[in-house]
Amino acid sequence: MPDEKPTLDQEHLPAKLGTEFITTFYRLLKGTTLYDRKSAVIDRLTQECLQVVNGIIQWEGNLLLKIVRDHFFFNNNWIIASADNYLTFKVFWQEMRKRRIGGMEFSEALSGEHLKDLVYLLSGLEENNESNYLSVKEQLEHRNIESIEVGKLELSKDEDISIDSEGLKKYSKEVYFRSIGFVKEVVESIHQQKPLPIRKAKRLMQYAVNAVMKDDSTLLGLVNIKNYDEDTFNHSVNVAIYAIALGQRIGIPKKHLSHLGMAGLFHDMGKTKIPEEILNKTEKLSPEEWSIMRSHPVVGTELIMRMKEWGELSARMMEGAFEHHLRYDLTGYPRLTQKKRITLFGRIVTIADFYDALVRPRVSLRFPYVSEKILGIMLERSGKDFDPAIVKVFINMIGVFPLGTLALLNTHEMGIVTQTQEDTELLDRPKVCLIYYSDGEYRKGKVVDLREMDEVSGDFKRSIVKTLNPNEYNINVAEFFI
Amino acid sequence: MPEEVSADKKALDLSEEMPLIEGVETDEEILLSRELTSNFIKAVKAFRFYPPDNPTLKGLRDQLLRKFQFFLNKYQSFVIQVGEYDLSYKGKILYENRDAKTSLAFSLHKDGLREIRFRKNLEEWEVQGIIDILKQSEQINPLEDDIVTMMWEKDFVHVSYLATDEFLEETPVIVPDHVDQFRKGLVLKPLAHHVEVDLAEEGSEKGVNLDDVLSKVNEEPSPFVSDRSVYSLTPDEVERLRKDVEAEVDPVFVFDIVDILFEILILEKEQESYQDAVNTLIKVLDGFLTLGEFVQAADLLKRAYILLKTYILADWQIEKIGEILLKAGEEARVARIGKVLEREEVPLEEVNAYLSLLQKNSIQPLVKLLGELKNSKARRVFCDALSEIGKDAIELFIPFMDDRRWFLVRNIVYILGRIGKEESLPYIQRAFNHQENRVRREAIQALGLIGGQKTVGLLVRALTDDDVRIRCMAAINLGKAGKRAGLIPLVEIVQSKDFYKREPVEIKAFFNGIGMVGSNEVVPVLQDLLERKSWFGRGKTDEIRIGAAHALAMIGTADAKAILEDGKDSKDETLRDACTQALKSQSS
Repeated sequence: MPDEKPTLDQEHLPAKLGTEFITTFYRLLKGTTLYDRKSAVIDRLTQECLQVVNGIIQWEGNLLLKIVRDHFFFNNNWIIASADNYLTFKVFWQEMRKRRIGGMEFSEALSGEHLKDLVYLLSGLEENNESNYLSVKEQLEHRNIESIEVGKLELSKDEDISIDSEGLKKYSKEVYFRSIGFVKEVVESIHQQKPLPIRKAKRLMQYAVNAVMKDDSTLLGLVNIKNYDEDTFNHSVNVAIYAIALGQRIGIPKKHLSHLGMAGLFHDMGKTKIPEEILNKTEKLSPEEWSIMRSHPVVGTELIMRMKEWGELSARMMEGAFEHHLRYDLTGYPRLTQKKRITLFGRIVTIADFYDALVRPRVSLRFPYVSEKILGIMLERSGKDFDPAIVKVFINMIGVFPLGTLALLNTHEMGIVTQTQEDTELLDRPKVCLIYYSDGEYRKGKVVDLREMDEVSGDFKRSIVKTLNPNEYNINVAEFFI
Repeated sequence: MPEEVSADKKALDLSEEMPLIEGVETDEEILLSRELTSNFIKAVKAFRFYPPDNPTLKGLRDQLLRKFQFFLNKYQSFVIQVGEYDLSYKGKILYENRDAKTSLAFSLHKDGLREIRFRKNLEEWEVQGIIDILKQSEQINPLEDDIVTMMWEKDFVHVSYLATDEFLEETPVIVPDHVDQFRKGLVLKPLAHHVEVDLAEEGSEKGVNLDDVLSKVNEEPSPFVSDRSVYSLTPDEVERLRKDVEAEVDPVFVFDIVDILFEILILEKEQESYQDAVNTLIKVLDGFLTLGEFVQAADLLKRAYILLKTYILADWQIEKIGEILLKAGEEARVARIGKVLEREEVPLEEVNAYLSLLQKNSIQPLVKLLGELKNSKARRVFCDALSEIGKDAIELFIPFMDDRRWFLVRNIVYILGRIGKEESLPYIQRAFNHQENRVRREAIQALGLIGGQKTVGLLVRALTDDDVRIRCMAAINLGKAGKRAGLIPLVEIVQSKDFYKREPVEIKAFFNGIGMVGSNEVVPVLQDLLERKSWFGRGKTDEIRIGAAHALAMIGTADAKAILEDGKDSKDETLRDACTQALKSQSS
């Protein structure tokens, strides 16, 4: 944070300041779960946050952050998370919501100790206690800290019915496997020339959106499942989930996210009309077979056209089906004659489709092989095959070491990446579930956070040295997300 | 539903659906909840029965909102339990209707809704949103939608619900509880060739050799891992994505699907699928017309024309594309245009651009709509478009010549005039005998536009009509026709004894008519009129002189000019002024 007030226009300044505050404050709050109040890491994080807070107070007179539903208001300006800081906002919101804290106000410049008092008070609050804000107030009063105020989070709707992480995991699993079953049903409906069960699809995708909006890491972990039941069923569900999660990060509203999920779920429907001997052929396809194979985007679009109700949803689904093999530079297939651009939904589904296909187990591999190298391929092709901005959002979403990566750590431990970091600065330091070998197979150990630092040396405790091929260790990473 | 006005009353009669309370209900909360439910049901029913612009609806909605707010301020929440045929609050049944066809409770229950919760601070848009959903509940396609799905999409803040989803369980699915169960579902088979190749670079059919790529993994992590700038979004990218999202969620954006549909019309070779694309395009067109997006609608039709003209197509393809153009002009679609014009200001040039692309089959529906349009500028646009569409189909307009609405007949005459075909003369002649002068005047105008020898007879007849404007128009149109056959009657009239008594405007029109014919033969007559002395008062003579001078100027021959030049130097002031003005107008 520079000493001088940033010279942004009035529209963008609150967003910038608010984002800086949320980011640094959240880092500090998160640090309290890992480090002692006297640790050097906390001192550093406090100073970083303090510089932002006091700078804002100096320029603006005060700092007021308020949470209304899932919106943030900074000095009474609504600030929206952008694609690159989306997760920080979201996780910060979750942390505050858990503690029922709806905002805070700093009316004077703070000292480092007062700021630490506040974050440790917040950090120590019990979950879902509506009186939390009162106890923080009391404590602040008791310590004669008058320049800090905290407020209660007003919950509306059913927000007070909280789902714990186990509950969410179970819910996500239900959604995931039911969706696979559903795709199977769709394929049968098409073969039997029955109408598409759109109502079911909508409900399932709405559930998927609910799950992703609460915490996308559970469903994004499940998409490591690549060869459950028939390939197409599994793949369609994965694409839908990647698409919803991506869409959420770039700010697509809830209703449209479910449509995006539908576009992902139905993107490959055209393959149901491709003869199985071509579809499943592992040897090289003849030109005629290629021609048939490459008709599936058009065939899929036509299948969707037969939906009774034509409208926003069917249009989105058609976009997904028609455009998912078109590239950003308009090459790919089907060959275009008139169309001049690919829709946002189409660009999202294309990336989701490509990534999931690339991670699928191949001829020589039984299990999915997740690696940062795959993201490297996508980056290389970004701008030509893919929308470069969406590729970046995708990497920010799944992490530079994607969920499911089997990694070797500098501590000679092996682990599977199970959660990415919300802070984009720390994308290369995910949470890793350590694994150990016992009774003839690898088993789950404890989950470690690669952000953790050694108090004495100031170095990170663990780092990823390299990624490994799970097939060489007979590990199906998907099992770690079940 | 105007024809069912009497049913409205019946529909809003809730006496059979709101069960009577046995004994005296003393609990205020229950009494209020009953009243609220009654208002709720009433509002939903009214919204189902009355057309959306009925002013009663807003009143009912506002009243319902007030009732809700009153209740919620007092009791914080209002939770309706949904039974198969009843709605209840805290165990008390507040609504009951066992007729599955009309029961609101049943329509909610069958879709899985079991409880609706309204909370304090309920807002107007939420009440309207709930009403909108319930009003549609009878028309929901059960295969594609349900009330629960629609409630979810609304994303209410102060309304929530409990719902079951038994229908999801119709097909049994095993959700693995543990790893062993999961492993049973795994299918380990080689990857199909097409998946590999789909990942390939453009033009390559070998596929990505992922094994090669991954075999290098046992080295350091990829360089991009440590270079955050590679995956950090720039402010421009963030802004572009924001704009993309904004554009994508705009409902109108769904019409971009037109691009895909036209691609399919180029790629597809199967008749059935081709038909599907055509049908969908027609649905899209319906969407455009409903929203009043005439530019996009016109673009869609233009693309169909371009397709017909620039691609080599089979006969069946031509026929199917032609179907789009024909359907565009069908009554249902034309009616949509009418609705848009009724409810909002639409740039009429956009409407015109669309209408001009329609085919002959649209004539009848368009004329029907023309008879209903109130906006005179819109009527003009329709007439102009119909003049284009109906160029070779005047017979389609003829039945409307007998319409009881004089203004529609006048519009048809206008259109026939613009089309300008002599075949329509008998009908225009009929229109000339219409009892409404404005129709007769239009007929004379039309004759002027059609022109030709055959129009002269009727125009000459019109020179002696009772209506001064008709006489004027006839004179001008005879002049425009430029036929000498019309000249003689014109000259006869201007020479008649009482011609000077006519209104200046008529005198002017007759001389203009003569001037427009441009014949040198009439110069002596005009000279006589110009130089004739008045016995009847100066003013009237002046008008004759001015008219004659002006006609001479219009004829413009040497003889005519010489007369005017002489007159310019006349001692007679009125003669001099008339000639001077005429020469000026000639030079300008």
